[in-house]
Amino acid sequence: MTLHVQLVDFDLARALVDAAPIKAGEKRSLAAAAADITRRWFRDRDSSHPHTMPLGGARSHYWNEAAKATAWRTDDEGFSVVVAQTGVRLHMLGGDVKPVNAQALAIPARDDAYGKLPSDFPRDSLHVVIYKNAGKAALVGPTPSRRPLFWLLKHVTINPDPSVLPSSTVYFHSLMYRLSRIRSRQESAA
Amino acid sequence: MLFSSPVPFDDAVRSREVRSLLPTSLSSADLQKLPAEIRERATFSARVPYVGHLSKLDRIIGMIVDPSAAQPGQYMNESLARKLLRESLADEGYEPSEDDAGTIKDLSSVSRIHLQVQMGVDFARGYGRYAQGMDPDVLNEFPAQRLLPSIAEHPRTTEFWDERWAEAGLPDTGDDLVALKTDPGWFRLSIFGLPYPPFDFGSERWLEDVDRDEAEDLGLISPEDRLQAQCRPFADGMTANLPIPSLDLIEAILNVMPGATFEDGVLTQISRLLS
Repeated sequence: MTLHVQLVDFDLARALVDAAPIKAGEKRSLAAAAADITRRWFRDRDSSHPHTMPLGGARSHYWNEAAKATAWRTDDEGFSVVVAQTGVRLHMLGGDVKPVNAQALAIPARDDAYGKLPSDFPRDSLHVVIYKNAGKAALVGPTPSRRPLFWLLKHVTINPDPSVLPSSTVYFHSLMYRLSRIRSRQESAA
Repeated sequence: MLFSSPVPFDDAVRSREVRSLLPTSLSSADLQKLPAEIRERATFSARVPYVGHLSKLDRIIGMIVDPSAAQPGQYMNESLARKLLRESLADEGYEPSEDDAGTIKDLSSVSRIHLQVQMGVDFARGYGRYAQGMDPDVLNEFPAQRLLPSIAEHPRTTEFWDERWAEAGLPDTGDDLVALKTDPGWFRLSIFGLPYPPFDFGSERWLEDVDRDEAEDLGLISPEDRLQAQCRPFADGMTANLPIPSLDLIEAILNVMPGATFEDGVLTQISRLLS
């Protein structure tokens, strides 16, 4: 799901707008600056988060992809940062994920399942095992392995993580600085 | 404020909308001979003559670039893309040769599908970022950009990129690789002849904005300079995506390469580029 942050609705950013009416060109520059702050934040997050399954092959670099998917737009109300990347909103706000097209979610249990679906493995090489004592089910294989490859779950709960985005204070101070630089240059030119 | 309704990255989506399918039996090296302006308007993959397969690839890339229309259970990702593309190859009766199986030449391999999907998505996002950076006011405030370090699993060496940077005629700014956004060297840095990433097959070197103060400190621009924004040729004449090789695209190829041959809509041969 796309995350859409309308900065003008942050209290501090509102103060910025109220302090001095922002011209259309300034608004676009501020929007680009806000997108840039967000991209840098995502890239830092990507480099500071280790590979969840280091033996599972190439990392997906999810947060770096989120940085690539980050853009800006303006409207009459102000400006927005758009992150057109599936799952960012879920990471930020948390939520319950349930299977839609299958009976269960398949969650990688081993490195070799990282970034893969059960369909990436030969159909007859996997089988369902139910661990009654633990109340769990798993896809086990590929044959002859008896270790769980994917856990089969009826739902997964993602906890909210406000650190997905920079705080409004980070945005505010960066944007105030940007606005002051734009205006001081305009004054010098005049 | 977080909005409950998803919003797309419009400029990235727009770069997908102008593309038409180009089934071809040509190799990657041959396709590189097509002008960048034509490649920007086509969805193709080396030695993929199957329209159905390309169409599916095109939809998959579109769904990743613009997830705003997807409902729970419809979100696209690379593993699902792999499943769908392998199904379409099976429908076409495709089987890799014994030598090619599992390699980048095998259309059903993990590495080939990753490359096809990732490059398609990256070109769209790369263009989107480029287009946004060319807004005249944004360009004035952020006139330059930095080539970021690679995050590829097996990156090319720093020396490789330093050499390529110099060969492209981009400015020497010390350890940092920074140049004006309008520097024609960006076109030369890219093996695809495009001013935005990806700059090479599998390249994971992206860009970040450099503001006016830093660009002036680096001597790239003086305080009184105002850069002229650029736009890609297709941005002026957006046309709808077409499900088959469009006559427009065929005509554009024949205009620059009159000897190009299409067999049942599949590009099978090209000749030298008209000067």
